[in-house]
Amino acid sequence: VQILTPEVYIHYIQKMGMGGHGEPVETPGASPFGDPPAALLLVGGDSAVIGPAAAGLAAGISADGPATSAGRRRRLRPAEVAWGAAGVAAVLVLLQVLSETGAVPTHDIPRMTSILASLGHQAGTGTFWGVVGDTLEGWGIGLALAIAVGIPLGMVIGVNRLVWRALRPTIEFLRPVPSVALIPLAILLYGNGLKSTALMTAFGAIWPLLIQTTYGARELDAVARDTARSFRIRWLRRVFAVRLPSALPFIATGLRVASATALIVAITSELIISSPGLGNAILFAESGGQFTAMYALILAAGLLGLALNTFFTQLERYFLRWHPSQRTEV
Amino acid sequence: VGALRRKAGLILEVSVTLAIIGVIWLVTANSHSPYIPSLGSILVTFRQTWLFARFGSDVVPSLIRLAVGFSLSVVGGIVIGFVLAKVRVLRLMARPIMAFLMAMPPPALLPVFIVFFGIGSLMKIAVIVSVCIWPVLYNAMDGLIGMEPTTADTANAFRIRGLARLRYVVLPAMAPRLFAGMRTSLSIAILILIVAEMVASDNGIGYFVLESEQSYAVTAMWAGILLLGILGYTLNGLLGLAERRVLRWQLVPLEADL
Repeated sequence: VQILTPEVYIHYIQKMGMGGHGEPVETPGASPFGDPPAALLLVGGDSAVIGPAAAGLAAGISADGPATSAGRRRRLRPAEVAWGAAGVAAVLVLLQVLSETGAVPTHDIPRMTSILASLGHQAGTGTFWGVVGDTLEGWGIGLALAIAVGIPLGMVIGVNRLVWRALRPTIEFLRPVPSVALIPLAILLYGNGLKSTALMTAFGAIWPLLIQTTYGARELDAVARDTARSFRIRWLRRVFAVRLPSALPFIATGLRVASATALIVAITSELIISSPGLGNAILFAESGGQFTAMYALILAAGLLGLALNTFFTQLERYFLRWHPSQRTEV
Repeated sequence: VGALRRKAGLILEVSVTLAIIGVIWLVTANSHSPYIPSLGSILVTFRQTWLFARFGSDVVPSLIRLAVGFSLSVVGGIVIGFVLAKVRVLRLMARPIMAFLMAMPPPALLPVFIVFFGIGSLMKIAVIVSVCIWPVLYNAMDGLIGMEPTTADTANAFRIRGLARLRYVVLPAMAPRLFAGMRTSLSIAILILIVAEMVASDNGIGYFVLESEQSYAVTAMWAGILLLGILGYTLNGLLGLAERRVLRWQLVPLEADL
């Protein structure tokens, strides 16, 4: 038997999605594309779903792929998986045929089979994994820094309205600054090493996390908040028992976007300041004319991105599982 | 009371922001660090460099590449997204490939484009399109698939076809997701353009910034970074304005209280 502590009660409320959090909102209205035929006015507008994903959209940092709707996506059916596999096979075969027939000179794009063979060969060497490890090191340190600063700061800004108002212009200005613009500065200050890479990566990754955490902390379920108040839960306990759990789905989305951004910045800085890693290895293979190896490494970079993205999408889905948008209709 | 609170909030925003700028100004005013010049000297260099000595030679090429690449991505994304939304088999076949290409860190593709297109504007535009088309495509497709069945049925019943259907049914159904995709695309477009200009170029803002750093023209480098910041902020703001205008029937609940 579960004792009804305030936390359990609040958790229960959030699970039930009471208090309107995450409910779809119907916004009827006219179409922006001129006056629609009268018939369509009857249909009304689209419906907007308010939720972590939508908050991400509002923050302008999400919607960058299937992962945005990851939460909503159902499990794929076998037939769909089969079609997907067929699509991948078709592209691979097409590329191979183009090379074999000479439509695309193998000098420009090597045969797909050679690229895959090269990837397989490289995957058996320690050098390759060392390079992947280097990239992951820059990515990981940067992401960790961003988490350490972004999440607490986001909680503070989100909880306190005045702090949000005061810092909003500064954040809004800094957020769209392309992190790669700061690479030259990082070189000046920290030289061509891991320190520069980690710093750039952290700067790129912190914004999605900060903004998402802020939205998450603001988007507290009214019923949960009032419950916490009427139980007179103390401030610190309220932050950890009420605010943080309700912000977690938002943070998970931020984490996914931050991870993708961190990988981009890490590889960029490897390209430009030649710190070791996949980006540098790709550039090295290109300048040495080893195009097969270059394509294999690019393939590896894509697979690495896919693996990280999948991991964080799963994490997001896990944190979102209680959310109303996750419920399947019975 | 609402108006008063709004006014107080505005005052808070402005005063704290000015205070932050003021502190930076004071802290850097007597800076002896060769790498962190005073804010005043950065602003002077900013004016000398960008108004308008190197405007035509560096800013204009960057803006043109950005505009062409971004427009092509949006148009291409809408067209392909439309086709994929209509043809289910094609969509199912394309999904894993799209997932792979979207997860690919864009800078990793740069060397390929250098091999194929050299280091001119064509290379940058090709890179931008290859990277920026995905968010637009995916969101256009998803927006269309998620269209209210009633809307489609009504349009069918009234036999709304061709251009009228595109304008009154298809685009409005796509629009909210489309803008979300465009916003993501724009940020990536700016990012990858700067990277491309840093890695391989002989003009452009990204080139200017890295070049300044390599020749130890630190103040010029800061002026370039400042310009990139302003550029990112302005372009995002413009897209946001367009979005608010086009989606004013839609965005109200999202904008509330922010």
